[in-house]
Amino acid sequence: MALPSYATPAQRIWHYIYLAMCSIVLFFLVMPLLVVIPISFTSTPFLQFTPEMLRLDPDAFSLRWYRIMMGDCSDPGITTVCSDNWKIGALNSLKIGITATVLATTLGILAALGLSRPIMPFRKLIMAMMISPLIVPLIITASGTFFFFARLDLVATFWGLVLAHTILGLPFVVITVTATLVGFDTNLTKAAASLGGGPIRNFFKVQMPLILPGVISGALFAFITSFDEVVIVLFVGGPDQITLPRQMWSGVRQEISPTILSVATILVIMSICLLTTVEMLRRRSERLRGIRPS
Amino acid sequence: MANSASSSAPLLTADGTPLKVGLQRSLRRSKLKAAGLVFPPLLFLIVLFIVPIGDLLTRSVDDTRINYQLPLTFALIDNWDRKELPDESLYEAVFLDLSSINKFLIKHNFGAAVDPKDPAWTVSIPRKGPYRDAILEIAPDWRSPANWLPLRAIAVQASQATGATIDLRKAKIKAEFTICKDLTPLENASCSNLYRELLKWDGTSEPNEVLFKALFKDLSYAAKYLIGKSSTRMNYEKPGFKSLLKKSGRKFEKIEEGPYKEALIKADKRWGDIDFWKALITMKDPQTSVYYLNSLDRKWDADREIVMQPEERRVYVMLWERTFWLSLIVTLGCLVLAYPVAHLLATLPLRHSNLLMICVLMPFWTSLLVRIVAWMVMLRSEGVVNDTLVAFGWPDESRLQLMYNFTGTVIVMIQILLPFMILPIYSVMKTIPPSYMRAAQNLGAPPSLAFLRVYMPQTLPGVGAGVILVFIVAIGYYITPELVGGKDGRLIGNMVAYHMQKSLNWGLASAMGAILLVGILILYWIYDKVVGIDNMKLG
Repeated sequence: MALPSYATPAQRIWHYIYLAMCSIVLFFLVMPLLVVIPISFTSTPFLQFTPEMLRLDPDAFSLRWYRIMMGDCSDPGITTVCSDNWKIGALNSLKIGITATVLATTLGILAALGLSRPIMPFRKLIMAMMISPLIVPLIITASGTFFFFARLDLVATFWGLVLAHTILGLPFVVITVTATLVGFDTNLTKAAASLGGGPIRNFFKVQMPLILPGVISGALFAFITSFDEVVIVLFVGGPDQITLPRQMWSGVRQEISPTILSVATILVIMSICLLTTVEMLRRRSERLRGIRPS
Repeated sequence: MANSASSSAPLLTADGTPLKVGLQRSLRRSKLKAAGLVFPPLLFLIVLFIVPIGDLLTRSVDDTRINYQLPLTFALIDNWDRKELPDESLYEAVFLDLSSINKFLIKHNFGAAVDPKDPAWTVSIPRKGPYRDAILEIAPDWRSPANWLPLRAIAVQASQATGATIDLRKAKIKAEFTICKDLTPLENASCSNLYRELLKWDGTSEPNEVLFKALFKDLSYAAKYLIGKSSTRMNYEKPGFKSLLKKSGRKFEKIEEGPYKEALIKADKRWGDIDFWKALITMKDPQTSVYYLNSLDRKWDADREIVMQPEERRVYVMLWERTFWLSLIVTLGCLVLAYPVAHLLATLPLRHSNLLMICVLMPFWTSLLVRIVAWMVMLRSEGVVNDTLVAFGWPDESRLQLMYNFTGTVIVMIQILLPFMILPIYSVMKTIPPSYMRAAQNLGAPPSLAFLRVYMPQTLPGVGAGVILVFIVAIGYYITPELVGGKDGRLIGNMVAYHMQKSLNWGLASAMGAILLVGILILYWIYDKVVGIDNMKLG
């Protein structure tokens, strides 16, 4: 958006104020995340830029907090708790996240397919229900789930957490897949059926490849939701069910050490990768459906 | 013309059925197919999400447990005129309910209705045994081995568990709880004596004194536990009940026989205070509104009027107000920051806007805890913000207190929720043709007027969507205030968590959750009217 050449000085000034405001907001959004990354490489136990770091002294940087994060406790100067909990937590979070994602994606695709059909009784109500886990505060969901799972003996079990996380991931899959199905040409499935394909084969051969971008981005949303979820884990999980967010939670509540910043750095990089994937998928999906970016 | 000719005779499909019927059939089939697809996920959602939340809501009014504590009293209390102190019979009922509740537990197991005239109430169980005869006098059903077998099955099943030592111990502890759950209305009492003795018993011979002793011991323990829970519950209704019951428990052991009225008042003069009796009546119903009243700093007084809590016990109204104001500030803050950025993103050429879009989306994709950690590094008194200020000459001794207070919560929440505001506004702005603004200016409007009269009204749907969305999310926030809020940044969500995990006042937690939920559902409904949930998009 360039300023036209006939702009008055007042308009010019206003334009630069506007650009400055936007830059400040974008800076405000991204800066905290970017600040974490260099500090995580500090060689001191302090969570700040030391004068040596600002002078770019190579001795001021080290990987010691990354080693501690990986459970290498041989560092003589460590003051914080050192254990395998980060590794265990990451592994648990992956297991729970992947299982919950598979479940949420399967159920979400079914729901989206049903809801996208031209005739669907109570469509609005069902859609509202499907999205409600996104709207209801986590603390309420967690409390309700705790009482209910206590009756079913699901508290402090792997499947308890998986089921609760599936519920949280479901709306994302429903939203993204429904959005992909909006531009879906139903003549394609009719054509496939007229050529003799069964409904299941048609789905996997014709429909699925076209809605795949939506499915994958929904699955990624569901995964990241589970991978980042801590309230349900605190309420429904047992004390020995350490997950990555839970370990971060207890780390933040006790004493933040640069180890947490190392974990944070890795997660920021992971989120950048996921974001790029989803953006690419979105464009691919728009291209496939013939929607040109304006 | 062919149409009018054929409309007189019914249209037929290829197989000869009328077209109308055929269409209806295919419509029905299509409906069924759609419903069949939606059914499994919907069932999953209802069972694991809607039902648990409904369960939570029933807890906010549930008041049944107190009925196990005071069965005799509640059976008689309606006869009382509520004007002056009750008579001897009610005092006797309270005495029996509080001193020999294990008798009720012994009977309750076989579903006996409470009959105040039942001689079992006055049976005294010798403290040092033998227990068998006394227990059989209260509930003869215990004579039959068949009534012991289901309990034994629980113990036997747990004892046959295999696995690591820790799993075996877990199985044993669980069985001890399950036995108690079968015998009493309590979920967290442990029947360890029964577990041990039931395993030794062969399951066929006449239940002997050892079993009865175990039963008595476990039920006495459960009764103590129940009285602790009940006194907590009664204290919500009228402060002072807890200490009254605690004191009475000790003194009642010395009361041998009636008249009970004098004896009870002598044990604690509060039994002579009519307000305590009036408070008892309000607990008789198996439903209660006390938790809802309490979560709004109100209570029933002795005359059944709703009054405010005393000044020093009021916290929740203040918390509701704070939650509302904080959400409003966060929402407005997001709106002010998001509007220009959304405009910039919508008007920049795609090549440039993509990079900026990534700046907006990156926090959206980053773990919430990571973002909070990052803010802690920024906002601590030794943090990046303060260090930078000091480096530019800010006095070192007056570093800003940016965290563990209201300000910190607002700053962090605005950053976290900003993408939820930018994205809906952006997607609406994207659809507004830039020619509208040019046309307005062409017709003589100065840019500010053109913006106010032409551009801004068209962005309102996006603004509405963003505002409601951010407000909904902000009002139920828990994690951020918990970690950076400190004392005066706590919100209602944190209070729900506190009552769930620390004070264990689950009724109050549920009531507060229910109020919060109703507010959110109203906003959700408005969101649906304004935006339509179909238009909710991610990224």
